Amino acid sequence: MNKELLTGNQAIVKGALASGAQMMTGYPITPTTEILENWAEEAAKNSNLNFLQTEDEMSAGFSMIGGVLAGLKTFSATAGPGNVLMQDALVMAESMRLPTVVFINQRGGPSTGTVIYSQQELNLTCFGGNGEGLRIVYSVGNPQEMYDYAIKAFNTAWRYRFPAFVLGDGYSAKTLTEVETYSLEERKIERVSSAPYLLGEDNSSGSVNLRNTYNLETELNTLLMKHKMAFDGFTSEIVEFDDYQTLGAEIVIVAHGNIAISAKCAIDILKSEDEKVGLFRPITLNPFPSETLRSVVQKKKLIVVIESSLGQFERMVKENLYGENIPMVAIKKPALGINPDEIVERVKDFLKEMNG
Amino acid sequence: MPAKIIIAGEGGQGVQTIAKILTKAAKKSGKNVSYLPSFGVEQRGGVSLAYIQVSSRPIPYPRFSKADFVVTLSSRSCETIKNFISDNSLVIYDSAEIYEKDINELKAEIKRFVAVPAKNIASEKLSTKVANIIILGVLSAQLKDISFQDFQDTVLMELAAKIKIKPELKELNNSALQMGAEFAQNYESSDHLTGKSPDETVRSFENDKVKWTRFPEYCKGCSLCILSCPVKAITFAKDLNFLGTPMPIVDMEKCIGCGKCMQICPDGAINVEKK
Amino acid sequence: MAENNNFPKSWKKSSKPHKFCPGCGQSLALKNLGFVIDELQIADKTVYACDIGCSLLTWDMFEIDTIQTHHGRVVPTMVGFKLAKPSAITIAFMGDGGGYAIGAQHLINAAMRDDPITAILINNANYAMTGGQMAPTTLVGQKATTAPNGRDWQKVGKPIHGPEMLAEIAQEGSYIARTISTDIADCKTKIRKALQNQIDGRGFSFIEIISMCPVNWHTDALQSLDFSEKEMTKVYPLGEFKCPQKLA
Repeated sequence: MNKELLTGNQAIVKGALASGAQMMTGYPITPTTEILENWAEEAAKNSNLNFLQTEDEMSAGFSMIGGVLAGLKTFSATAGPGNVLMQDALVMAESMRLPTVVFINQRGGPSTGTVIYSQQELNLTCFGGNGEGLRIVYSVGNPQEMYDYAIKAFNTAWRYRFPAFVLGDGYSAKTLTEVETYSLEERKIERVSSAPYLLGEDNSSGSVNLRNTYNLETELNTLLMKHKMAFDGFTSEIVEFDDYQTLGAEIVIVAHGNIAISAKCAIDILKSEDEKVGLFRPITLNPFPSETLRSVVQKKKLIVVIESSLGQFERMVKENLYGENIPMVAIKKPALGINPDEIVERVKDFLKEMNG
Repeated sequence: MPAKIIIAGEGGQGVQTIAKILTKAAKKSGKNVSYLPSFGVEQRGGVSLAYIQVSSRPIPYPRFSKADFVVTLSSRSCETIKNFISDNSLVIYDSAEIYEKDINELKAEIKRFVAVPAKNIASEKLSTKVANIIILGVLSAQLKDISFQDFQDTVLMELAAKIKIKPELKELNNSALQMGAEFAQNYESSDHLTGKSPDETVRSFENDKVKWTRFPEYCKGCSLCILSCPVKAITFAKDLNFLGTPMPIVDMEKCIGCGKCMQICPDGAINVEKK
Repeated sequence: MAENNNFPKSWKKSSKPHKFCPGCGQSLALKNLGFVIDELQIADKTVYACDIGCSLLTWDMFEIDTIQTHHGRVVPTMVGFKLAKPSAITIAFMGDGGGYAIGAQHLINAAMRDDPITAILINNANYAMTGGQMAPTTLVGQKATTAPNGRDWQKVGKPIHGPEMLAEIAQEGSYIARTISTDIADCKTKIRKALQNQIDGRGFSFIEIISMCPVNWHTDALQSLDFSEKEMTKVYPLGEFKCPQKLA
């Protein structure tokens, strides 16, 4: 165990290395470029690591898939418009059940937006492409989590063979702070192995011909139902959340990523003033911890959804609470950070209104 | 009476052509009609499907599960149409194109059927290319809501561009439609699902220097072999390849065994071996 | 049953007859490719990747490990594979849409980076799978469904010359050539060189293969041969545009 001063982007590279990543492909885009640069530096020092700077994010996505097919734990990183382009490759991975890991550090959108911060790539990351969103998305909120979930994402992707994402943001990516780094061995975390999909050791059953094109609707339907069943089958094994001080709370804040961290600080302030406020934070946005959220909000007086986007997260929360009859309000600030004191103030307003 | 019709065959057999004619004829007869083509990625080959509905009431949804008329033109599409057959379905199939063993796979499902040797009627009396129109003729006899005149007119209208280039197509197609309709009128139902017997195509031809072999299971009848032969030893034969188009045959008195036909064949359907 | 020596060992038996139209030049090119793979005895270490367009019909063409990718993305997929497993022989097979339009940037950058893959591109002067639309390779005046009066070069430019362009970009040690599927000897020789260059670990290899498309050209076999062998080669001269000395 070791405490180092790292940015989120640096922590991602360290985490990827710790979890056994072997190859990265990518195209520079703020605020993820340092991941590419840091990996390039690592690869320059270690000939066992592969690195390719591609001509665009489509190429980054597909050359990543090439690396995966050859049996290497390959990953990429992108943001904003780059995330849009990379979906081309990511739906192929989803369709063919290929493990991939992509780090998304959200920037302001739509379009070029800002290079700074937002939570606006939630829809795109969870459901992007012309598919059903059979992918695993971890929403992280600070450099430490970027390290922890980098490790986790590789294991999850290669164990369950669906694309995995670590959804961060520009603030977390750029923040320089103390991060506890560790090896998988010292934490007794298993390292899921990878094997080639093509030119593997075992060719006893003839050649492997992989495709994502189908002739008839029924063929594709059968395949998708099989994928969905597999996905639902392991959902309970991977779904993650943070339930903070909701026991006895009247108000439950629901937030994810960086905003959930801010909300946690706000709750500590509110608690010290004896306000009954808790936080439910989904860590996996996909699959979503719907059952837990549903049980947490039972008999609460108010749900407060907080997000740095204009309802993308609120829609997700509503969908997962369908049928519950609990008042819900939302604080929505697209492309903007939301500080703890602001949350404290807004929640106090809600409490005042609620308690007359 | 509303009718749900499914037509299935190989791409290139003319499934979509007769579906389109049927659709336009129904419209001409004042019916509501809906036609949904469905096929895979190939331009030629692969199973081609057409969902058609004819009704005096509006037709809001183009697909259906069971069909009143199930038409199949090829052995490979028998598997596809299986799910569309109900106890009330009338199955119309080309008994000169579909192998007896393949149609008998559906024995349990098929209650009523018309076995029409369209391919034979076409090749003996007209041209192999109009087998689909003969099938359309059979179908026209079942669809009383659409006048035969409308079928006739639509066939000529749909093929107008081709007829302009080859005027003889007019008579060929007209006759094919009539023959199909007459066949249906005179058809005596039977219990036995007849079909094509296994092929007994001659595969190899020899002279003292060369053995020339053709593979009907691969040949697509493109005629590149015929064009590439420097001594004009290859022509089209009467017998057919798996697509139902004519296959090449070699005159071994002329063949010099140069192998040009073999090299140019994109399908690996000709083998030339020097002795 | 008689033996068929006209059937490459590297072709997958169970997927034949293949899915190409009668008289298709692309399938002839693929037969030539199959025979070269047989000759070089590389089937067990080759990865074959196909694009979208008619090339996707080859996802189960070969008894060779295969990946069917997205439109234009066959080159990066194989670049990634080769980087991860340098001992593999990687073939990126695409059409003129995949290589010269939707994925042109990948081809250009792979040539510039000297990625040691073998890219094979079929030029049939149209988009065939979608039914004969104009391609970057459509000849001036040639009709296409999206150029009903023929390609008007003043509006949409003149046909692209891929090998010539790539030869300008590519590094020494690249092999870049154009051939035609119906000239069996030339086609096989150039495919062999494009693969040998990769086997030797020299660099980027690319061949464009001129090919017939009778269905979308609305031509019979003779007209198809004429158009590809006479009209197309006039615009697209056959030859080697870059050839390492050791391959010459």
